[in-house]
This record gives sequence, C-alpha cells and structure tokens, in this order.
Amino acid sequence: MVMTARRSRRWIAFAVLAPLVAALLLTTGIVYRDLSATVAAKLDGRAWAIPARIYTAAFPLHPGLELAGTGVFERLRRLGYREVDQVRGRGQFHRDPRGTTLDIHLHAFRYPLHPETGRAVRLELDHGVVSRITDLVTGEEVVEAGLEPEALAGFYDEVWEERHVVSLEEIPPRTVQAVLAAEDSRFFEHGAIDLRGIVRAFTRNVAAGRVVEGGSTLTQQLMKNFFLSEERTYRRKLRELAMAIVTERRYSKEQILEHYLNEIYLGQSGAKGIFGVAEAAQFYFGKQLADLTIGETALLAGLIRAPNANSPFRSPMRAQGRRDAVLTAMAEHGAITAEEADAARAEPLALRPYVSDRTNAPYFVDAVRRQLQTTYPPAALTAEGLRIFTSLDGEMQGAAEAAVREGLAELEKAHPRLRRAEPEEQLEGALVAIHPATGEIKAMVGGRDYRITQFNRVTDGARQPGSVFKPVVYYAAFDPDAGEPHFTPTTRIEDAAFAWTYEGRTWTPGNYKERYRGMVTTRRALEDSLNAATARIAYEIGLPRVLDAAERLGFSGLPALPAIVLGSLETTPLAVAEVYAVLASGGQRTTPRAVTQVADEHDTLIEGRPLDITSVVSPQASYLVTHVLEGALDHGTGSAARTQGFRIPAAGKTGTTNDYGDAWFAGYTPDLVAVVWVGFDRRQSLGLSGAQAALPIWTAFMKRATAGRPARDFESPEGIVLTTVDAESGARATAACPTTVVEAFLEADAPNGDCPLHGGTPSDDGSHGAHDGATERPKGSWWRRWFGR
Amino acid sequence: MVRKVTMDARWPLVLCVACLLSACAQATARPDPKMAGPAKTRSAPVDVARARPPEPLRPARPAATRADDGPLTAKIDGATPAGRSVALRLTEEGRQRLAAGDSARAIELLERAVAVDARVPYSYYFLAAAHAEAGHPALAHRFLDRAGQKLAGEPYWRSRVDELRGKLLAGEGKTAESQAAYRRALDAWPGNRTAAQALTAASQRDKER
Repeated sequence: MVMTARRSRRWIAFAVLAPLVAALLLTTGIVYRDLSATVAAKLDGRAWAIPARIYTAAFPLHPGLELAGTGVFERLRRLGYREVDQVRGRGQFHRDPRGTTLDIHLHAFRYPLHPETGRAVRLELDHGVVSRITDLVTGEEVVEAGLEPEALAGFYDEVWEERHVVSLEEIPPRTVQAVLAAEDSRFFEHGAIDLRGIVRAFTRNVAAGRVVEGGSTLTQQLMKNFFLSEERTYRRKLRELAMAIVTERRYSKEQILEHYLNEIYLGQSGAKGIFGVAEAAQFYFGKQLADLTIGETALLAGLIRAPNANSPFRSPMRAQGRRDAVLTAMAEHGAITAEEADAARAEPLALRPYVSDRTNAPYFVDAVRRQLQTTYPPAALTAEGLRIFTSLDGEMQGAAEAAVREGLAELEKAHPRLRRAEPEEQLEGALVAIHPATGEIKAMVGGRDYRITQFNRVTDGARQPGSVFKPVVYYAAFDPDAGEPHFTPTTRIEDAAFAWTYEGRTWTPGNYKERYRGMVTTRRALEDSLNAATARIAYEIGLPRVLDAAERLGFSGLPALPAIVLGSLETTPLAVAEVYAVLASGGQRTTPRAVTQVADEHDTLIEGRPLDITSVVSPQASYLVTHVLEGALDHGTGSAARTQGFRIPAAGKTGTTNDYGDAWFAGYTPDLVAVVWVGFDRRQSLGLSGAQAALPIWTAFMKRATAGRPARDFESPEGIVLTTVDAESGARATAACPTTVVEAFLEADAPNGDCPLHGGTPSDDGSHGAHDGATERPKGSWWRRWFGR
Repeated sequence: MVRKVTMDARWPLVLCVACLLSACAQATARPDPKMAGPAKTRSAPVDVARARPPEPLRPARPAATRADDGPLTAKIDGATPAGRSVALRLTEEGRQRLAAGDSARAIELLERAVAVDARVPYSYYFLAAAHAEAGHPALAHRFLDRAGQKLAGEPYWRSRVDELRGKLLAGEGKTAESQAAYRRALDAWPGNRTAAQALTAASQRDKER
C-alpha cells in the first residue's frame, strides 16, 4: 500500500511537473529563438544607419603657391594639425623660423583611387612661395601633395549620428587594451556574465556608498546600446542578460568586440552624437586610431562611462583624471609598462579645435543633395555611409560667404533706404565661383542667411541679367565664321539714339542717363556699356546671329526680340557663370560640377563624375571679347575693382536692369569665374548700378580667392595678333599718338595703316584701322627734300 | 677752298640726317605691343609683376623634324612657370598610369593637370586617350577636339590626335572617316607608323573584298 501510494504521488508529481518543465523548456526555446533572431538581424545585417558624408575638395600643395595668401595655416588648424618644433607623427607641422621650409606630416586619408598613407613632406619656400616639395623620408621630389578634404556636412534623416565603422583589424591593439582595461578587463575570460566582476562592483559600490563601478560585461553593454533603453528595471536587466547569453553563444569574442568599439557613444557635437572609437579619434584629436598616443587612447577609453561629463572640451581636468585612471589600469594589466604610463600621464591634452555643428556651405550642400537625389534613393544617402567628394574649396567658400555678408551690410549702411524690417524681405545677394577649365564649383552662396531662407538664388533665382548679357552680342559681332559684317575692337560705331523696328513694332534703346557719345570704337562701346551702340551692333549683324551665339555660349531658348541684346531675359547666376566660363576658357564649355566622386563605405569608387568639355565657340573671337572685357575692368564700368585693390589680370562686366531692380557683376581670371547678384527677392529698385552694388562684393571675394595663387594673363590663341593702336582712331599707332592701346585682332583683320590723326598716312584705299588696305608706308616728301630723290 | 669749306659745312648736315633717319625709323617701325610705353599706353593698373605674359610651350626638340615622344617632363626648364611645370608633371604621371592600364587614376591626375594649368595641351590629348581606354568614346572625341585646337602648331602631336581619332572612329565602325583621320595623321607626321599600318591594313581588306 505504502509503495503504491508513493508511486502514485510520484506519478502525480511527474504529471504536474513534466508539463511545467516542458512548457518552461518550450518557452525558453521560443524566447531564445526570438532573441537570437533579433540579435542576428542586428549583428549580421547593417548594424548602423550611417549618413552620407560630404567633403570639400582636397587642397593641393604644389610649387608656385604663396602659402600665407592661400590660408593654408587656417586650413591646417581646421583639419586638426598641430604646430610643433619638429614633426614626429601624422597631423603635425613645423614652420622654419626663417620661413624657408614648412614640414607637414599629412594625415592618412582614404581617397577612393589613391589612399594617402600619411607622408611627411617638406615644402621649400622662396619668399613665402613654394619652390619645391620633397618627401621627408625618401628625399624624393613630390609633384603635388594634398591637404585632405574637410568634412562639410552629412545627410541625416532621423538618426543624427557620426560614426566611422572600422574592422577589428584596423583598430590598434592598444586601443582594444585601453577599452578593456577601462570597461571589462576579463572580457576574453568570462562568458556573457562576469560573476567575479559583479561581486567586485558590488563590493566597491557598497564601500563607496554609491555606484562607482558597473558589473556589466562589454556584451551586456552592447546589448543595452543596441536594443534596450537606459531604464533601470529588473525586466530590462533580465532581457539584457538573456540577449548577452544569446550573443555570446552565436558570435565570437572578436565579433562582439568589433561591434562594441564601433557602437559606443563617445561624445556630442551639437545635435550629432559621436559614436565609435574611430570617429571619436577624429573628433577629439583629428587623428586616425593608429596615430593616437597612449595618453590619447586612454583618454578615449576613459570617456566611455560618461562621455559628456568627462569631455575634454568641457572638463579637461576630469578628462585627464579619467585618462590617468585608465593608464593605471592598463599598467596593472600589463598592457603598458609603468614608465609608459608615467610618460603618458605627463602628456598635455592636445585636442583639435572644436568643430562646430553648423553645416558649412548650406546652399551648396542643398544643391549637392538635389543632384544626388536624382541618382540615389533617399535611404542610400542617409544610411549607407556614402562618401561624397565635391569640388568646393573651403577657403574660397569662406571668402564668398564673408564677401556677401559684409558687402550687403555695407550697402545697407551706406544706403539706409535698402534696409527692411522683416528678415524675409531684406536685401539679398548671391555669389557663385567656378573654375572655367574644369567646371568645378568652388564657392556658392545662395543667399544672405540660410536660416532665414533656403531659396538658392544661384541655381534658382532667375532674374534679368541686363548688360551682363552684352558680351554675347560682341562675341557674335567678332566671330567672322558667324557671317558678315563682322567687327573688330576698333571698328567704329555710332552711339546715338535710334529705333529698331521689327514686326510692326519699334524698340528704342537708350543709354544710361540718355548720354550718347557719337562715334566710338566697339571696344569703347563694351567697356563703357553703351546701350545704343550695342543695340546698333546687334542690328547691323542681325538678331539671328546674336541668338545663335547666345545658344552656343549657353543662354538657350531665347525669344527673337531685339530687347534680348540688352539682357531682357531671365537667367540665374549659375547660368551666367557658365557662359562667362566659356569666354574665360577660350571657347570651351564645361559642365558645372559640384560632385566629383562618390565612394561607398568601404572606400570603393562607385561613381566618378568626370570633367566634360565641348568646344562651342571660336577661341579667337572669345579671346577678343575677353581682351575688351579686360579693358572694361581696367578703365571701363568695372574699374572700381582696380581702385579697390584687385590687381591681377582679369576681365569683367557690370549689369544693371532698367529700373535698378537687379545689380550684377560677372568677371573672371583665366582660373576663376565669379558672378555676383544683388537685389530683393520681391523685385524693388535698388537705385544702384551693378558697379555700385555687386562689384564691391565681387572684388572682395576675388582678392581673397586669388591670393597666393600664381597669377597669369589670358592666353591668346593662334590666329590672334596684338597691335598697338591709337585709342581714338583705332589705326596702327605712331610715335605721335597721345594715347595708345594694345589691341587684339584676328590675323586677317590686323590694321596695316598708320594713325591718320597723328602723323600717319592713310592706306591706299584711304581707309584707316581695321579692314584697311594700306600697303607699305610711302616715302614722304621730307626724304625727297633732303636727298633729292 | 670754297669746295673744302662746302664739304665741312655738310658734315653736321649729314649727321643731322642720320639722326633724323634713325628717329624716323623708330617711329615708322611697326610698334611692338610689348614695347608700348606705359606713359602713352592707356595702361591698366594691373599687377604686372604677378601677371606673367602668355608663353608658348617650347617643344623639347624641333617638332617638325623629330618625334616628340619623350617624357613630358623634358619640356620643363628653368623658365617654365611653376604651375605649368606641375601640370606637365601631373600629365606625365597620368600618361604613365594610363600605360599601366589604370585609366581611372590617369583621368584623376590629368584632370588635376587641367585644373593647375589648362594651357598645357597634352593633358587634353591624354584625357582623350584615357577616356577612350575607359570606354567613353564620346568624351574622348570632345577632348580630342580641344587637343586638336591646342596642338595645331605641333605636327607630331597633331598626328597623334588624328591617329587616336582614327582609332576611335574605327571602333565605331566609321571606316571612311577613320581612314581620313589616319591620312591626316600621316600628312601631319609622315613617320606615324600606327597610322600607316592602319591604312595599309585597310587597303588590304579592300583588295581582299
């Protein structure tokens, strides 16, 4: 009986417990499977959404540059380089006190096609100008070295995180040792949970009377960061433990460590969080991980527990204290010697300058985003870690922003009537600068203040260009291939009121203040921006030729109306810059480029946007226009640029619309085209001409943008001859001519008769100047008087 | 006596005539633009010290007699402006990369060369060659147009431009245009073996047909 009762109790117990155990096992299995799937989804797939990062162009260092003028030291500072007595590692530079050399140990940088390993180079200087560059290690001459591109912005969506993901192989062992010493020294010895660590933390916390140490392993921390909130509940802790166990079972220690080192939060840059050790090394020190000193590595590891409280930017003393504690731990665990720890403790905190969270060049970044959105899906731009290399020159962009900001403020100060109470209605301006031979956009300011209005006036602000259009008319007149008659710069034309009748209507172009000059040279007509003379030239060559030239130069789809010749069309500053770039580059059109290369997160080039050129107009005729526009800048409507101190060879043209609603200046050197527009978004009269409102901004920008770079003159193409002519008659100058100019002609048009106004004799057909048929200079009567034959 | 006195009196006259002739010769000579005096010329307040006048690229050897096929760095001498020197070196690097089969990096270097000094014509030729290699024939043609404009005065290089044009056109199946380009290449530089071989091969094909 007793046996039977016992047996039946066992059966009852079994009957009750077995389902419970089975249920428990089943539940555990299901939970394990779910957790396992959750962890795998994160760790096996794309663990992080990494925004695309946009970079400026690299800054090339090569012989011929005058260093101080190019702002190179400001660039070095922004890139986190430190000035030292002798360069010993990447990210350092040294100026010889006599100014004869500049040594730079470049940062390593992952260019898509040619990774820069971080060479040390010496720039030999001759009166501040780079004369030679050599590799400091090999002594070999270097053609060109580049300061790496500056990060401009990121394309953020919901996640505002800065993170540079690196593999464990790319992380120096010392970084790993420092992090382990600071956070989990027994990581490779325990499983998901470190019981000894928990007991130790508990003991220390009890002794201290507060929480001074956590008992979580790296795996637990990783799970918390990936999946869980910061809340301190048993439920959260249990889930963290379970996930840590799952993770430890599925993944190797190395895989977990790699994820941890890329995941940890290490600080804040404005609205953006700094995540992962590689990003933090750049943020705090401007260095790659491999270049960190022991002290810097320890400081990073010390930040993990409280990145903001221990931030070296905010609390240098606390940061130093944490660093020293990590150094002690590293020495205790044998990662470094006691001497190394002592030496590292003596290191001063050498941080890179704090880089503000403000997006630089916001209008440009918007333009880049719009371009890329036509090719890449939004998720690719905000999550796949693309690296977008652009053409922007950081220094020129700074100069452009300052020129627009200060120029508009000056105008408001000098002309209080231009001030407006509402920010949205204030005086606006735009500036764009492009390299004419490559089409690279070097600077773009789409408006006065991006925070107030994001409307990009460079790309979208269509306004009348006024006289900025006139060079198109002169191009059409100078190009003999376009038809006859064709003009030369010395061809004379009447500047007087006249009427152009077309389709039963009459158009009467008038000059500024109704002042007319009578007969003038074509050069003078463009230099002084004479409306009547320009319209008469257009009338003589015919509107179709003007429209054809406009089409080829880049103003397309214009209506066949005479008023077009004085700029009564609508266009943007970028389109104007494209047209002037054709003139600057001798007839070659380049597609403007903001984006040059796109690389994926593994630095593989996925798209290159190459230089593209098309020869669209005659190099000779475009050179003639440039030559006359040089005169416009030197002593014509743009001459204020010279009085304001802009000295290097350049050409340019003012533009003012009828009612002073738009003020323009478009000008160029052989290496840089810049266009400035000033006006109100809701068109109102400025009461100022292009020379008064836009030219000062252009001049201020060009002075800074061209400083330190070799200046050169425009290259005259084959088929052009330069001849000194009398300024008044336009015929070949004699010694008696009071004012002469060096004039450019097509070879066939070069004058061969001397100035009739100042002692010269007319050519055989009695004409003077261009197109004349003058032959050899005849012997004069004085010869016969003296020698009798 | 009278005769002697007369001769003595003529000497100052002859000297004066000589001086006047000299002055007139200067005045009647076609003025050199570069010699136009700053006081008389309506001069621009340009920083002449910084502005270098355009200097034509000097071929290392007389282009009309010998092939200009050495390294481009041979064109650099003491008078070469720094920017042009850099552009020539970058172009040479680009050429070497292209020869090594790395057209992507070659394009990058050659574009840098254009950015530093767009007047160096060889950069455009090698950009055309690199784009041809990279499978961008339309771009290659456009760079050849530019190279052709800039190298018009250098027969050896003009021949290379036309030779590459011929190769591109042949690749596009434009046989007649290709042969015309090869003929232009030979006209410009009779020593162009590639063009000659291409034309010979074409005529043999024609015969076989």
